[in-house]
Amino acid sequence: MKLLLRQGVRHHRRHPLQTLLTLFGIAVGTAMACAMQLAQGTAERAFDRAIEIVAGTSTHTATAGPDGIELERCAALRARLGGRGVAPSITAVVRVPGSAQRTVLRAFGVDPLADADLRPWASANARAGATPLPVAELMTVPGAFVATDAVLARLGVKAGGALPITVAGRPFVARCLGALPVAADVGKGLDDVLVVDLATAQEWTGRTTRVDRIDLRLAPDLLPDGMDERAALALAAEQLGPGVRIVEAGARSGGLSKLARGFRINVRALSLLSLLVGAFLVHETMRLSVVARRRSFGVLRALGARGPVLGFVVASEAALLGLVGSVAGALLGTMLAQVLLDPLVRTLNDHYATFELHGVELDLSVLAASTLLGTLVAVLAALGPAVAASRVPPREVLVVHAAVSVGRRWRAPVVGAVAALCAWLCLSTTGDRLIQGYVGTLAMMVAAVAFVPPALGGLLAVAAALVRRAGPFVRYVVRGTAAARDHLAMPVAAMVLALASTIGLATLVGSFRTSVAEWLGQVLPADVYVMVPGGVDERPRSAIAPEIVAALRGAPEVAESTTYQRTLVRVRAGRGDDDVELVGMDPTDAVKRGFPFVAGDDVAGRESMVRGESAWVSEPLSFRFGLAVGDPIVVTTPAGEATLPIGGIYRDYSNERGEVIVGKAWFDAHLTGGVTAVSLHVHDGRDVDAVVADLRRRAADAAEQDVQIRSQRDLREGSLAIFDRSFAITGVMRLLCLIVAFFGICSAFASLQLERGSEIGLLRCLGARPAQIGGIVLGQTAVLGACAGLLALPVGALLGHVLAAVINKVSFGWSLPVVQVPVSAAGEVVALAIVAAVLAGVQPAFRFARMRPAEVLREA
Amino acid sequence: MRAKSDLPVVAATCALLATACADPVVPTSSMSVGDALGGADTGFARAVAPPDLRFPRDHGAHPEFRTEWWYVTGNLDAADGKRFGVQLVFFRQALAANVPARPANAAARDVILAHAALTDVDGDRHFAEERTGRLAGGMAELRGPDEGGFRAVCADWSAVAVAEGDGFLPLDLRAGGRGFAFDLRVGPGKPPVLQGDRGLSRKGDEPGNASIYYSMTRVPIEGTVRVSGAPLAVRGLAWIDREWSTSALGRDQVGWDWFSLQLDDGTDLMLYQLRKRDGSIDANSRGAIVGADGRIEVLPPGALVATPSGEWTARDGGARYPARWRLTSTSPPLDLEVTPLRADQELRVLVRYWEGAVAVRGNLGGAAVAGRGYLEMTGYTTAR
Repeated sequence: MKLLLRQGVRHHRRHPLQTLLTLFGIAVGTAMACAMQLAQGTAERAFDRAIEIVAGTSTHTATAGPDGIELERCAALRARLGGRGVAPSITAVVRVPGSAQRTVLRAFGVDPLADADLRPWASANARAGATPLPVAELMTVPGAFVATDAVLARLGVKAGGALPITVAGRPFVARCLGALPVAADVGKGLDDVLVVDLATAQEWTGRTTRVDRIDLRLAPDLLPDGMDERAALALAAEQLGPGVRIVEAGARSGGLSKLARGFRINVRALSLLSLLVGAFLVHETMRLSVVARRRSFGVLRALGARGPVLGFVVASEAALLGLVGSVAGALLGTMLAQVLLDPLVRTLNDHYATFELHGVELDLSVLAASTLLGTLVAVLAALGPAVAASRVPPREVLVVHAAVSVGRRWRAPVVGAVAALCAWLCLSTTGDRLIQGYVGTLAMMVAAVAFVPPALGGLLAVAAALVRRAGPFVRYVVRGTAAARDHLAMPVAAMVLALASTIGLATLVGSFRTSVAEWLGQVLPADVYVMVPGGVDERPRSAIAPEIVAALRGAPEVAESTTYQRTLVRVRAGRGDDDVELVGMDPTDAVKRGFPFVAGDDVAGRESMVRGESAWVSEPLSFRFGLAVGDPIVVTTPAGEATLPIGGIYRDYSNERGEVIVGKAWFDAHLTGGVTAVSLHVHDGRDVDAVVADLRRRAADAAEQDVQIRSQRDLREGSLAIFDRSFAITGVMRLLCLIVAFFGICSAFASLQLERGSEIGLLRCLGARPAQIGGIVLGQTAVLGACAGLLALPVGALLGHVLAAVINKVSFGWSLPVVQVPVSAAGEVVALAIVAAVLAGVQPAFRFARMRPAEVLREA
Repeated sequence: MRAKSDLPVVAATCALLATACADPVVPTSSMSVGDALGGADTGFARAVAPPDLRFPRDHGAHPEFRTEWWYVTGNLDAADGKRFGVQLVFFRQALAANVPARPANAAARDVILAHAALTDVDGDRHFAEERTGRLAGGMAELRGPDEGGFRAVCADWSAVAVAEGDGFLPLDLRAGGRGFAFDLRVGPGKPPVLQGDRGLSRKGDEPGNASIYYSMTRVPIEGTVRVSGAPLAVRGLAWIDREWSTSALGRDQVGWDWFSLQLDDGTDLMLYQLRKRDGSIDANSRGAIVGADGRIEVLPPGALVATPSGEWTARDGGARYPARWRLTSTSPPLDLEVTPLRADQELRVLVRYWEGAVAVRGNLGGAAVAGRGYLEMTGYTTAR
């Protein structure tokens, strides 16, 4: 056994380049998986921490849509629940116009007198050292706030300082009382928070009698004698009224996991793919190692060694390689995570939250799991060679082995056909089952790999036909490659897989962007859009001052306008029951006609919404709730439930949770809420930019509220910029994938060439010059690279379609009308494959060229 | 609290409003009112002259002063002989003298703090909890007798004047917490007596360093108490203290002991003794005797002296209180032994102090007397 292992080590030592490349492949694959986990984990924990710190030790949370809950109801509930464990709060997005650094924060309005049982840090008896919370000033000075030292440092504000801010566009002055005395772990969760009193938060949000939510701790130690959690819940529901939802604290957490799902899907798929490429590399290395040592295995078998022992030795070698590679990968991953964190946070901040992350938190379990995964993948990849080693017959000593794993050519197409069938079945019936979508995609990739050998054969045959009239060396290059295609098939398949995945991703992102751009054109038919700069973590639901709405709609440049009233309501329809964004719209004809319908696209459907006889639902909502045109949706209104049939389903990329559009008349009859956005059509021939400037003046004169007035072009560009930022991370990952592919190609092709020592030796003996030998080696790797690149094109295109049509739909609920393979990505991949392959040939070419023929023969 | 003793509320305020005291749980050495309140008591009225009190109006709040309380303590008996002690106090504490008018309904100028305690003497149990709430948005309420009847509410606790009364008494008290609850009606009984100089209770030599203080020393109380079980009908005698002030104790005062004793012969006795840092008794300590006829005799300084004996240490070792007291006086001749009905009647709320039911035995004017009462001891926490 020892002898065998020593022999293995010697083999790897004699082929350091190949071993190193293999290690590198595993390391990069592991690093990507590990880095993503770490970055994701860090972001998730920060998000959860922020939620946790805010929610405190509550067991339940009561919320009531955008209008909130009357403070007096909260007080009454507090009295009935025994006076403890009932903490009202208000959250508002605060912008700091003057600050260059970070301009968006959250104001968290608390009641320091009610918080002791839930948020000790925000309560009257909160103390850290000798600096307690300055409750009296916090409660009596309008605009007073405290924040962690980190926030104050970032804002450059000291105790006693004033900070001009805007909330929902309205200007206020926040007054700093000093640092919030909290422990470091709590402070981390308050990294973007101004802690204010309820009253200040009420004033900033304009909801002067209400609170956003009530955190409840319905625990036996706080409830009145004889009241259990269920009774307390029933009491709370009764006390707070029908419009209020009470959910368990657990239902809130994991918010980020849900929110950043799309992002994670992208990256996780990529990291698994790169690991897969690493696995192919291990397979190759171990296969070659077994081939090289076949004779000694035979000798050992003849001497009495049992087959399984030999297999075990090969597997152990792979495990060792995997371990070394994945440990290095885990270390590399911690560095890579730092790189990933930044785009990840940017993505999240564009869409969801306002938190800040300062560094990756090392999670040993992630490092351990990545190492284990890398090792496991290596062992699995080496199973084939290990089995081959265990089956080496003792008589091997006596025969000269010509080729490895020849025969059973029928196997690959059969496997491919089965996999393709499986892929088709899975992908055509995916529905909303993400896992099934993944399985189908995987099966498709397996099928692609299985079809690589015959496809490679075909390609090489075509190439051979093309070079029929070329010189002998060129013909030799092509034919030699064709002759070796059986054992070239696996590494080429690996390359195809890696390259195809990058094409697939580029296809998805490119198609998505094209679709979004087209969609923006459809949903933004007006010339000018007006809204209140919302928080980054909420959609613009702040109402625009009615004076501004009137002033803008009445401006002489404006031909016609559409108002939008956005609110959050509880919607029950199909299989869904959830809080959903609902927009009351009063569309102009252009808006009405141009709306991008995916179902129910007829004049009747469009008209009936305006008349208040139907509702339009967005595609993600219809997907999530399982809705079709004609289905009823039930909206909870202050007066009870109201039902509307679905008149149409429209495309929407702005909200993956889905939304509903109703006519303005219906909205006003059933719900309350001011105008949250206005779109304006300008008279023909007017200069839109000049109109925007004029409208801004009019708005400023009408009321003191900072509203955002943007031209359609500006808004569209801004939206696409956010889109691009969101997918910047995908670009990073794609680049990494390309790097793995590059090294994979280098490794595999270099080792393939090294295998061919005897052949090259023979050529040298026959009189080939060193330069010619170099040419042959380089030529063959170039041909292989080109084949891999070419084969990757259709596979990548197919993968792109599946990602766009199936995975994307399952993940977000939206479909992409345009799916196209970006030419640049395709060209990039073919070029990369050829360059990598040629580079892979450089070292063997030099080595063979410099060797004396006898040496080359002996080495083989 | 009686007397000049606004230490607990000062400590509570200090903890709550967090101005400058180092540790509100230790209302002793490091806690002085001057430090605690800093300049924040500017803008409030001061007690400088004997007030012209009118009842029931003055049973209501006096927001021009910074601190104010409604204090009810009582000794109760059940039909089966079980004895209980009860305490319910509402503190009003202004956060600032002048606040701007604000649109928010959560905007508050004052906060309400409340402490409730119940001593189950025979069951050998003591319960105490607290409630806090801003005086806004319904989180707490405070209404005067002339606003439809007195009403103090903080979360689930309340003291509400009965509709058919004088706007203050009879007063319904409802409070409770983990393991205990009470629902009691108190008064009317002996009319209010003005403590100190016609209601002006001086605390120091500085003008304005005083409070307005009056008591209703003997008022009937009845209703139910519940101690982990069915409500039990009880009746007994209560003592109501009302006090409001702006300025606080001096730097060298570390705590006080306050006695409210109701003797069998109808006499009631009040004594507060302020302790100084050096262990001596502050000259501003005062005692008073209210006769069965309701007339008050304010005793000259030093006439009535309370001497502690023995020691009771809290389970966690955080405070050591005297175990018994002896009250002596030569004029009128008096010698009373005051013994807690239960050793542990300590309140460990935002602040830590001892307040509990006591038994009295001894002689007054040559005649043997006995009775019940309440004792408050503050400033006994051990340095941590």
